[in-house]
Amino acid sequence: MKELLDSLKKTWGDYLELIPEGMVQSSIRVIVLVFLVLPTVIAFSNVLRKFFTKKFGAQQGLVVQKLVRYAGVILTTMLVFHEFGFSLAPLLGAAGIVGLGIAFASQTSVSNIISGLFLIAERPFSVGDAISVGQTTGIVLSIDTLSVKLRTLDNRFVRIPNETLIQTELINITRFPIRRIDINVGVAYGTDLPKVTGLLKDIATENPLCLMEPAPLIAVTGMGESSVDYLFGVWVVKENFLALRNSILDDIHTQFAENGIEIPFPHRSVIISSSESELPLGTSDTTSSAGAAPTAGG
Amino acid sequence: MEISTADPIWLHPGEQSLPPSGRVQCRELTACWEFDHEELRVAINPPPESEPNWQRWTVETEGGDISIVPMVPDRSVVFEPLTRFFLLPAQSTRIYIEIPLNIAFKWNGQTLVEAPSETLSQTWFGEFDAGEVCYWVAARAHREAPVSRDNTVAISPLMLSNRSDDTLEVSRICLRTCGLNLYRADGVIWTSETEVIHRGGDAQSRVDVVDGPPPTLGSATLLTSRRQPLTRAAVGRTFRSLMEWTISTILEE
Repeated sequence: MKELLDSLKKTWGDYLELIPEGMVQSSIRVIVLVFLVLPTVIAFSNVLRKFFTKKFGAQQGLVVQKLVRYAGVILTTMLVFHEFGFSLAPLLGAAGIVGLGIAFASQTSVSNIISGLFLIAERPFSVGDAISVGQTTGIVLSIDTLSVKLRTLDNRFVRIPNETLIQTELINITRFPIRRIDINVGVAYGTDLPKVTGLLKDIATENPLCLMEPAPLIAVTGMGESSVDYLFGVWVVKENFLALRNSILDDIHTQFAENGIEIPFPHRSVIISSSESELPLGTSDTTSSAGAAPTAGG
Repeated sequence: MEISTADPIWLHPGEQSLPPSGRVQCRELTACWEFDHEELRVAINPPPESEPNWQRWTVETEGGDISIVPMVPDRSVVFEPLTRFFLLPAQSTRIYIEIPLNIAFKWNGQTLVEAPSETLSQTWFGEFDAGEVCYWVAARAHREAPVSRDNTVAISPLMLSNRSDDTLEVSRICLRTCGLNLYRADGVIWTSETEVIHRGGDAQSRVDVVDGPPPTLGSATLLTSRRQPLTRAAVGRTFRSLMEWTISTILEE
């Protein structure tokens, strides 16, 4: 430091004489703190984030990075204030009083902070997971002190307060490596049910995205108004979820059509009549076929 | 040039190079290649009556060889014997499994594209919260080595030993194919032999890959080296319990 000062005096001697010696030293320390220590702290926090992300996960990496960065910035700021001659004792005292006031005034924020700590400890999800909260589904971008940030599938940014996440039912879509797709299929009454079961088995077996194990679930779930209802549950690796859902529906439609299995659908008869004439309503002895083409009368 | 599965299409770099253009048909896989004007094009399963969806590489004109080599599947294979069998305590048996292979197009030994000769179903091996995606092969477990000259299938010898006090029901076998070499002997493709020792209960099976060609072969030529050495992490259970899945099915009902 002394050598540096001597060197500065040689170069800028005339000008430095105008400035008190203590102030020059303080200024140099401040410069070192701001331009050397602070970037080092930030770089160090980045290194720590990488290390902890690799070792424990993205969420832990993010938390450690923020802790180190915030602590470093606060400490550096306090030291800078100290260099400028501010006494830290009254500052901290004032901060305590202000903090108390703020705490009373911002109970929600405090609740969010505490909820955030619970979220970090409980780890119901991590950065990069896809979660559903209420009507919102998205990828977790960050888990912060007050809130969790999501990117929705249509690329919107959503901020959900931590308190909401603690209180609400949350679904982590990508937590487990495999998922089941449940498809409700109805077949017309009178259909050969063992044939339907066999066909559904074949559909699952022949689709390369469908996992052979766990075995597909095929169950008759009830007798509906116009159909015998099946639950067809097929397992898939989470990455192939959408691809399998699309292809399996296509397979069911094609296979059922090729094997003459009717998928009933609601019918609507549109009757057009003038106000003078009576509506041609009546009863019919025959039960209309569920798969018959919709009719229009009038 | 048309090559079918009956032709000896598996080549070593330097042994024989493919012509500048051609088409190969292996089971469900059709692959075409063309090489001209410093551009190499490969198309996998091109549509029958339209322009293939070429994958293109720019390569140097001179000194290049296109070759097709067999590869073990890129994931482990769960094998379901069509007829389940039991292994009594302190007994061992050697079985032979036929595994459909992938084929890889290589340029001077570098893999350009790889595709399975047969689309295999996928399955999950493990628990609901942890495990691995594997291919599914349901076939006969042979007690004698089958005579196969199909260039898209490898015969994989498996030595099973039951060192537990209980009878072992062999209904599923997870074969870690990534740790197996491929050999050729008398026109037949073989994998390295795998030794599995079952210790019973929840203990993991000990899985070892025997170095070199299968001991039952006289002499064999190394065709393709293993994708990766068999690590401790890759060696898990081989004969799985389906307890949790059974419970899940009961709850569903």
